[in-house]
Amino acid sequence: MKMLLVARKSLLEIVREPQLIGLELGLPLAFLILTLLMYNTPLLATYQVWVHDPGERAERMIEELRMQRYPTGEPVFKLTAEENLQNAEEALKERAAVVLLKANPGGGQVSLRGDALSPVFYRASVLLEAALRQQADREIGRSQVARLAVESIAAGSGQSQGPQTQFDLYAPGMIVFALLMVIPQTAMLVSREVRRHTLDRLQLAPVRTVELLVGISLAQLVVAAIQVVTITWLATALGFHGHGSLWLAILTGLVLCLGSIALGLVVAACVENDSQAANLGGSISMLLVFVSGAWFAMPALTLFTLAGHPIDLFDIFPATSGFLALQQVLAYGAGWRDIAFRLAVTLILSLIYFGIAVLVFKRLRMQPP
Amino acid sequence: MPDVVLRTQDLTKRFGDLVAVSDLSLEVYEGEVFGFLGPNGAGKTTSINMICGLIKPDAGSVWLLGQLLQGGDQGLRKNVGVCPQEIVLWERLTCLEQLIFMGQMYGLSASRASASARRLLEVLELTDKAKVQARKLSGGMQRRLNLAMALVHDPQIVVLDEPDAGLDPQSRVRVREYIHSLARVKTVILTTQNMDEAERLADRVGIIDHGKLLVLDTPQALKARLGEGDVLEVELTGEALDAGRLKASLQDQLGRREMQVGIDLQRHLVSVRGLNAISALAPIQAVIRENGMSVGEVRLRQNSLEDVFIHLTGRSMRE
Repeated sequence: MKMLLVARKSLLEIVREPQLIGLELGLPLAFLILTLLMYNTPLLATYQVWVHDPGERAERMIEELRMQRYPTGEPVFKLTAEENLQNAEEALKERAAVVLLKANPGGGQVSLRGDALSPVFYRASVLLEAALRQQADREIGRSQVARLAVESIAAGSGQSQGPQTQFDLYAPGMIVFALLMVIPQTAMLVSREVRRHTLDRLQLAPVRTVELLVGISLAQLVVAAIQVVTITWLATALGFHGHGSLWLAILTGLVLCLGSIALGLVVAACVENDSQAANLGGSISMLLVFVSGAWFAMPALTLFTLAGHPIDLFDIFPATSGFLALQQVLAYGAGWRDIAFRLAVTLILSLIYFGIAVLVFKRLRMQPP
Repeated sequence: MPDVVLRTQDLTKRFGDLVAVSDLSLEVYEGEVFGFLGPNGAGKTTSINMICGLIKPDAGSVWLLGQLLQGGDQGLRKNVGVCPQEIVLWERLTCLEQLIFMGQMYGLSASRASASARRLLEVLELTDKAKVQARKLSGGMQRRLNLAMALVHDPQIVVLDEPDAGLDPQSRVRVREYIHSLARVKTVILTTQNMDEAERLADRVGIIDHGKLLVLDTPQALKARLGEGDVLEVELTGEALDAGRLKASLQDQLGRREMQVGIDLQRHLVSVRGLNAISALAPIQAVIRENGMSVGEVRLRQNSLEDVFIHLTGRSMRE
């Protein structure tokens, strides 16, 4: 009963606090739009390749590249011939071209130039090299050992449908980002109770640590459900090709959010005021956004394998497994069974974190009655 | 003999080397207004926090309604309502919302909490602000709401820690009237810096300083300890004040009258306490003139609790 009263009170405070709403919904929605602008490209992209071949010695190579197709029939490369090398270099700098294929006037060699910091260049150059090697092998009569075929990852996911754009892969990460913003939000909300002594008032009632923290968590979980629905809805409106169950996504989000709330409570127990809570909580959430892979895929640092699933170093955070589960649900249309392992890992970690948070908060913030 | 509703026994609290409260033993009776006075940093709030269970004492015990207060005494602590010194409100909840919330947190049903909240808002003249968020209230209104929060669950014992601090005169009168109305209905423990308020409201007064309870009695009895009669205060004007010589002359003149003579150089004030103190005015004037000074304003007043307070705790500034 008391935890429901605390939950209602906390929810009213969140709803009436523009700063908190902005942190939990405004910021992730803004990042979602930025993600759309950055990653609204098809997964099976057609790469812009400019060709500088003044002696026309690489015609056969170019013809080979022109014939490269994805299984869907879409061309892998769009080739643009440019006789003026300076213009071709300029196109590269202006990102009109991803790769500049430069044929050696002496014949026999081509070079690939591009932005070494761009992952698109690496993807395109791998495909180019494979195609060129294939053509070279054929010319000298060497038998083909292997052929590189690029397919959408949906084809290997076991799902009937899958992500079609980069945005489809990254949009679920924005939900994780939003759910991780619950860390500073919870920390601010609770540290405010400490600073204004309303926590003392509640203790006089009296309220037990578990009742208080579960109450606050319930309010945050309501917000988390709203976050998942709102961001999924806006992402869909922006062109996200969602396939999975929204209910399953909400459940995954809630489980992940529990871990964020726990971290927020630990932060609140350790700081003196709202701004410290916002700073420390925000730093932790940003760190977790990175290690969870929500924004960028992190390198696999596998520690061991559990039930056939590799457990990486960053899997100690609920957000990492939570993101994978959420991405599977929303981008690949995964069901209960597909994400059961990741969901279970997220839940167990979140509960452990929450248990630690209750202990830390009780020790540092709740006075002994 | 009325029932003892609160008893503390050798209550002690240290913060590092500082002994905030030392061996505090007192009893508070049912239905009385108990004034708990002391300068800033004397240990009042620490004592109250220990009594309420917000701070764990290093030693000693608290009995509430005859039962020893221990960890987890949720039922027992419901009998106490606390109005803290600071304004402790949820800024973004309306007056009504936070009163009902606290009422329910103390175990009242929603309807009882609502009825109690509305009654308190009416009594403390906040009805028209019922749906206004606390952050939008004036300081005086917030203070009154702070007081209402202590009472919403209808506790037997009400602890009011300087409830009149920072109030405008109108609000202070309203709060004083309300505290007065609580007397006999509830047991009130009142800490205040306002001696007039304490004298007017309290049945008994305890004065604490440096963590120790110095005296505990009725205001009348405490005033009587200073001496019977009135206080005559004579303001001095003029230069070349030799306090020692002046005091010796005054004592010489007034010694036979059994009066206490005091000289406050900082305030340029001679005070004489005793029966028929006004009769000493003429000799005092003569002595002052003999010492090369002249007489400014003259006041005659009764002994006050403030005299007792200053007598016990001194004039030096605290914190």
